[in-house]
Amino acid sequence: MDLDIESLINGGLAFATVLALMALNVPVGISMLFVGFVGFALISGFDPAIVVLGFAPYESVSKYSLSVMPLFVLMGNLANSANLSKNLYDAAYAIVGHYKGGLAMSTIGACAGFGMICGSSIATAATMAQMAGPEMKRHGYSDALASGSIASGGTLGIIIPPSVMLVIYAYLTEQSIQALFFAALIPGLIAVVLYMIAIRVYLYIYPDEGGSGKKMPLDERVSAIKKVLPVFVIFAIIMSGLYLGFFTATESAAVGVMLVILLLMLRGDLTIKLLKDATWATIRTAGSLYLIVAGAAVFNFLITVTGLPFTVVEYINFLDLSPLGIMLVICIIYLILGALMDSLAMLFLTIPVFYPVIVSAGIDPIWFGIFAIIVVEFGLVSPPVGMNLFVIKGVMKDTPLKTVWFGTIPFLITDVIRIALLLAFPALCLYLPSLMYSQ
Amino acid sequence: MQNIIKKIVDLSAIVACIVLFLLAVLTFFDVFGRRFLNSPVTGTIEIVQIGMAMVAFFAMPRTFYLNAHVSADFINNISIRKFEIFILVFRFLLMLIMMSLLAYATLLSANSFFQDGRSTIELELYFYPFFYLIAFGLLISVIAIIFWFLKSISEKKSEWRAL
Repeated sequence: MDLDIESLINGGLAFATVLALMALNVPVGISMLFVGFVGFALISGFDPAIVVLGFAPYESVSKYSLSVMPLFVLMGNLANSANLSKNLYDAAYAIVGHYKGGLAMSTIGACAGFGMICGSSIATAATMAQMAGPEMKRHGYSDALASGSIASGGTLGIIIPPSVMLVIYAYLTEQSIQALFFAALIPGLIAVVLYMIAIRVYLYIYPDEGGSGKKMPLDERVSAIKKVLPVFVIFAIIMSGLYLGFFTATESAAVGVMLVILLLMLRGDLTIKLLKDATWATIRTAGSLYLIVAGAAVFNFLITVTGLPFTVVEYINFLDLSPLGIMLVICIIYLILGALMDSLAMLFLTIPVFYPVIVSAGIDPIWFGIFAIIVVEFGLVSPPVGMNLFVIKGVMKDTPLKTVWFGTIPFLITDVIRIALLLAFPALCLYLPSLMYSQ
Repeated sequence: MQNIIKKIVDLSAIVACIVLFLLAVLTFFDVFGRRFLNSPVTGTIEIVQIGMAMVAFFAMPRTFYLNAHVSADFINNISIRKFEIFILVFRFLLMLIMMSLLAYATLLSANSFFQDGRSTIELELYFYPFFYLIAFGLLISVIAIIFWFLKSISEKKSEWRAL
């Protein structure tokens, strides 16, 4: 076969330079912006490169579909500022807290609940670490189980819709955000169940590492659950609105923001300070995310010009790999990259190259989106750059990083099981979106 | 000087906060108007698109000021002074050059939009004022980068003095 060596070299060099810059602590967005601009200037000249720099970042950040991202982040921050996360934890504790390992299971339940209003894994992990960490330690849970359950529970934030990662995948591949949100629902629920099973199995092997909490009287349990019902109502409104085509993803995020504000108003929690804190935190996140979006826009311009995605597709076709073989190769690449770079950067760097490959292999892009997000989750809890590990370490200062990582191993095993389930039964992802399309 | 720069950066973030919040309100009323009053807000999508670009580029200065970037930090444990300084200066130069170039390129786009009078389709809003504003936001980012660098150098110095 005739491989386009030039595109392989150019594209490969571009990726290697971005990785090298990231290793030198250069922000991900700036690394991509720099390589994209310089690479394009070398291929096409300085003036065309300046033209690209003048419109590509604007085009990318002003995409209507992407505006859902800061709105969902705002929704999560509003809920966080108003202590809704504490209510979620209390409710989860009321349901499963009295079982062996109940506090760890409550953490998983609360993370899943918080994931319904917050699309960020790091925010979920950070919020839960502050609450669940000290509580589990007080009840004699081992550092490994306590930190591992929080770090892994945090990853539910990016799989349970609304998820910022899914929005980014939709933006990069021009897939429907709604379809991706529905496709993520069942895998998200499977993750919750498997994580809880992992806790029980872990405690079966190491019975001294965790106990059970006090069983709450029925009225207290009902009251704790009642407090979080509005969160479920907001989630149901968002998802049913999307399902019925009542509003778009961006509109659902705006509706979510206003509903959370309404909820806070009704609870008497809404203050100017709370609004300010939530928007201030959102802007901080938005600034760093949009810098990556702008950088990726210019970098992807370069990657398209080099023709690398097409060469990779040609090469994969030449190798005649089965779809399963392709997925395994992608999985291995993600696991290696996950140990080296942030999950967001990984998605921005790899999807433009992998997407044409999976489409050419006849793999469903919605299914692949969920698969990619789950594999990317590994990176969040893998050393040396697993962001969730550092977040937990930042809050639970006495717990060594190694212990946090050790604690995530049982959950990583369940993630492998989940991936195997998705590979064996793609309908776990595709059934709900297919119902939506049949509407 | 430090206070003035901090105020400019904060002001830029406040603009981003207000625009983001207004966009959420506008989108909500658009949905509400369309579904319940049969009267959507005209041009919501165009306003949201332009508004989000404002949010993005006016939020960036604070990201640079606080060094709140997404970056791989696995070399942070290397505490060789010359290497630390090299990394700091390298990062600074790359960020400064790229954001200055981005500001310059956006300014050129703004000039070109001003000349050809390009506007949005529905509301016929001219693009050029927004592009000038974005270029201004990027200029604030450049100032924030310079300030971040000076602050980092002085922090490093006092850190080393303390050792």
